Amino acid sequence: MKNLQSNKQTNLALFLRLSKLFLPHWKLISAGVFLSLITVLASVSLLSLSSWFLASMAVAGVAKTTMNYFTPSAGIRMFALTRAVSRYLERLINHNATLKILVDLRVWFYRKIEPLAPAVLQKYHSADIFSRIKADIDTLENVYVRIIVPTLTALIAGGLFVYFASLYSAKLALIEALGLSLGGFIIPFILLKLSQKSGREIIKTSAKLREYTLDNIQGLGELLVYGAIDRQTKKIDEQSKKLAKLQEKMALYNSLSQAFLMIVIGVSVVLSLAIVIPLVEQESMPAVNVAMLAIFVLGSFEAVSGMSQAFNLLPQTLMAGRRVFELIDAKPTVVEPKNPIKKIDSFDLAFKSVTFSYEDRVVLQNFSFELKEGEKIAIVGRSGKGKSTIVNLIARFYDFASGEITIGKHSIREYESDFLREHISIATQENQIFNKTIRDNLLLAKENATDTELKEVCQAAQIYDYISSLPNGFDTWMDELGSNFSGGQKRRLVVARALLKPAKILILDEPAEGLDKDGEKRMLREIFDYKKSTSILVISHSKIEGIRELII
Amino acid sequence: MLSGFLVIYQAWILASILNSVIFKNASLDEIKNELLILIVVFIFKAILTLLSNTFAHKFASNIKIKLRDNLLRHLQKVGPIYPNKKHSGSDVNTLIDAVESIEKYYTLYMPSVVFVAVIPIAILIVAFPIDWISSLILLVTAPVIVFFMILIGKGAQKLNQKQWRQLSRLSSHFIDALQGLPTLKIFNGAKKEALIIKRLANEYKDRTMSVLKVAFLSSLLLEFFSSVGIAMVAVTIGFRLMYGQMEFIDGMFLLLIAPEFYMYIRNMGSSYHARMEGIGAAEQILELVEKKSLNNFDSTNKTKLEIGDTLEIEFRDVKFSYDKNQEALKGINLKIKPNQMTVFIGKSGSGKSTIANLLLGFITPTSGKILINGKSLSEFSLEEWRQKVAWMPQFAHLFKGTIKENIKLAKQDASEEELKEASKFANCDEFISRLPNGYDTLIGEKGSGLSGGQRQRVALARAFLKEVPLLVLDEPTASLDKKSEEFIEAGIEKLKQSRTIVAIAHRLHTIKMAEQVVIINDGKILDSGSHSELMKSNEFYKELIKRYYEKFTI
Repeated sequence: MKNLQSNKQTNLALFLRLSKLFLPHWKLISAGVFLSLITVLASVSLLSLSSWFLASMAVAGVAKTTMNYFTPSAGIRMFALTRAVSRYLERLINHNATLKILVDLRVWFYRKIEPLAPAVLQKYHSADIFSRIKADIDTLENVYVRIIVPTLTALIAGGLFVYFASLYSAKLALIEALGLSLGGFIIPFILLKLSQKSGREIIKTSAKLREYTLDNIQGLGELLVYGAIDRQTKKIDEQSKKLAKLQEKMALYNSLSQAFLMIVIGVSVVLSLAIVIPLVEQESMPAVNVAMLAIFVLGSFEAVSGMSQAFNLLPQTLMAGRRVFELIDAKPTVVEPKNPIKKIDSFDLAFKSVTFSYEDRVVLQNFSFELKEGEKIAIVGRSGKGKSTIVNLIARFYDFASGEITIGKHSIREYESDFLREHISIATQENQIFNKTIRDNLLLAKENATDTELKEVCQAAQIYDYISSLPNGFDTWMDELGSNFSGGQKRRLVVARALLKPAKILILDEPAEGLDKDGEKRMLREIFDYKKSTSILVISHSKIEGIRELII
Repeated sequence: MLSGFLVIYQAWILASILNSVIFKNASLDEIKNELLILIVVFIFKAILTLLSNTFAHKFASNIKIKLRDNLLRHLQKVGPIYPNKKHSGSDVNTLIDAVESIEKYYTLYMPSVVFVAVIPIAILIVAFPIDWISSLILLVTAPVIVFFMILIGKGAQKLNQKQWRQLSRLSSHFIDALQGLPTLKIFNGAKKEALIIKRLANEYKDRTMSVLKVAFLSSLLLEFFSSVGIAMVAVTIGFRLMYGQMEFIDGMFLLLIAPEFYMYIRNMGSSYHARMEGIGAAEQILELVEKKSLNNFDSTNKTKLEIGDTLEIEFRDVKFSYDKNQEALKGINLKIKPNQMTVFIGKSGSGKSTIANLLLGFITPTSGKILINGKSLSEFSLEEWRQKVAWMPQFAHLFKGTIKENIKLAKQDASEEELKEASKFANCDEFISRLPNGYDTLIGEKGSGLSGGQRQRVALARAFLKEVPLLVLDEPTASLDKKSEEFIEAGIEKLKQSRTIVAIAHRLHTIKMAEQVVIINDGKILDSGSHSELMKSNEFYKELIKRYYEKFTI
């Protein structure tokens, strides 16, 4: 019980924190709510006034008298117009606000997450998870259009309607208040609670269905060859049926909510009549008001029409919010210095008995080496020996546990990491090739590089011949993940990009993969020639001729 | 449908109650029955809504289950090799998400179309005898509304297609940037990227808004006509009531029914996006259905053909094309001897993998024949043939589940001893036994939790467990470290004595194990023989070995 309480609390806190994201847009939001309010009010007024008008005119007709019909008929026309125009404006403003908020949310999220890369994000390194993050951000948009606006509208319009009813009878106001809160809040809330279990089951089942289906597609060859295809099909069918059953159940809950709302409306209308009719009998109210009030009660439920959806969306929205916050609340592994040093005196790099562990696994222990400015060395060793850790430490993607890494006279901890990285260029196998043209991928390293420079770096990286053989040359678009490139070509493009950056320290991780021995020799010779004054650290699985070697 | 008539009845009852109260000075007692009826009508309407929704969902459920099943079977029939293969994620999306959005078409759009075809017409039929003027107003405004609805629909269609493309560009850029964050940081582009994301997102926003404005303008007119329709009905009735040309009960009834009339038409408009989504999904599904299979095994072929336990395979002028412009095999003639190992070598794209795919029955020759012990492979039933083949691909797929389940995929009723024996053969028993949960260790998506070498060895155990005459290996040791490679080669060595092995080789060591080496170049056989023979006689082979294979023997 207590547990439930605290859970609710955090849900509320979470919702408030989500709402805060929308605070900067309060002007737009208020305008949106205001217009949606006007729409509801105009709509209810149109119907109520019309029925009052009809009743009054009929009474006048029976009594053979006339009445002032100008004001009410003008009112009817005005409400009709207001309803149409305010609904139009409401849509315009709310959609505009939604899209604006989405832009801000994306940028906000990106800025928050940028310092976390890659150490914290490593845990999430799968395309699926990135698309989930994207979907989560999209879901958050619900908070505004489908939750905040309808709820505020329901509360304010509901309050106004209850006040209006109270002008005629306290009892009528009570019925109106009860009806609206039952139909708009209590019933949807109860059904939400009832359907929560199915909702969770649906998420689980559809994840399973997805997983089995993906297995079936990716492992289709194995399933066919090993005659296991029927078993897998059965597994998938089972989940597919289970999912459909659960969704039917969910739909039933939704229909129940609709059905109950109808009954609440009916009962409210009848009860209102039962309250108002005796008032007419006692002659404390003109009979024509009955028509107006009955239609008013009937129509007033438009105020809560969006609430059922709002409640339905709440759980998934909260879940999306929880995931997004969880990610951005993670602490960056590298702490930026308070008073950073703004100048680097020399580019001598040194590791002094550096130790680093990754999740309880010691990867580097008391590791030391020196790379003087302009020197070239090779680090040779088998995989799993911590070669990529050295790169990550120099790039300030991770922080070391003990020992010291210095560039010039200072610890690298004393520089701002962005500033430090301006002087370092790295080509590793994790380097991303972006879904842009080859040229744009290269220009990332040096925005204003000339075509001659591009040619030079690509020649040194042994990729120029290939690029110039492409019909569009440097303007060829990369497919997603650069899949129109072989692994080796991709690596060489990454190397070319790293060469382009005017950095003082260059780190190359297995740059010659996919080249034969002669090609490897040629590549390294040309790179060393091209980057004479730059310190170069080559990571390799085998010996490299002509330069100092460090075996780990 | 019935609920539509209840709507009409409900309006009538309410009008008559109001009539009694206002003009007959009826007391609460006198109209008690009518009030009760009104409640009953509301309850009936609620029940009917419940029933019709449940029915629609049930109907949609059945369609979804059937559709998924059919699509899955189609994919299985097409097999893992087909032209223009895309990312496997997109097929999964079609099977799950696209099928899901079909549901709305059946539960939202279809009922609204039925309603709109029946209820407004019923309302008009009831309303005409009561008052032709109001009915005429309804009749005239309805087509105008329908007209604007179609206009909105057309706009929405354009919006959908255009915006969809832009949205997917925006989001793929977003994901690209997130995945590439470390790279961006190295090149100090990470901070700048935020501005690019902002610019792209803003562009998307502005374009969407400009299209939306048009769509909303049409919806403004739609709203306008229905509001004005109601207002006109109210005002014209009001005057006739005053002049005594009409009964109040009739007037009130018409006023109550007019909003309902417009509501059903508008509902269809708002469920129009469900139709759009449904159609979009259907296109995606069709794309999947249109995937052509590259194998034309006759599925009705049930004749039993005795194959026996030794296999001799012969390729007779086998040609194969993935599509018209791309002939992968240009006439292969070859004999593969039983209980020997044959390896194929060549550059990537030379056609090595195509030969393996042909033997596995994933594809069938465009022309020519593959003979198994003298009989054409196409005469076998595919299932029966596959019972004779084991396979280890370059990147074996491990399923989410335990290691045991993964090895047993090949032979579900395998005993513990068989399981252990196969694992020992594949040199994976040792590391599996050292895991805390041993063979019951859960492995994740694509075998996560195991190293590349361990994964391949588990897959090899799977291939060993299935005791069959033909083993197809596709670059089994590529991308593995030296130690794993040795383990796997030792396993293959043991198997060689009792099986026909066909392998695509990447390493010199594997080549040296084979009795027959076949050089494939540009879809043709260049030469064949043992390694030592070829080294003496074939310059191309010598060069190939030197350039691509020796490097890995360090």
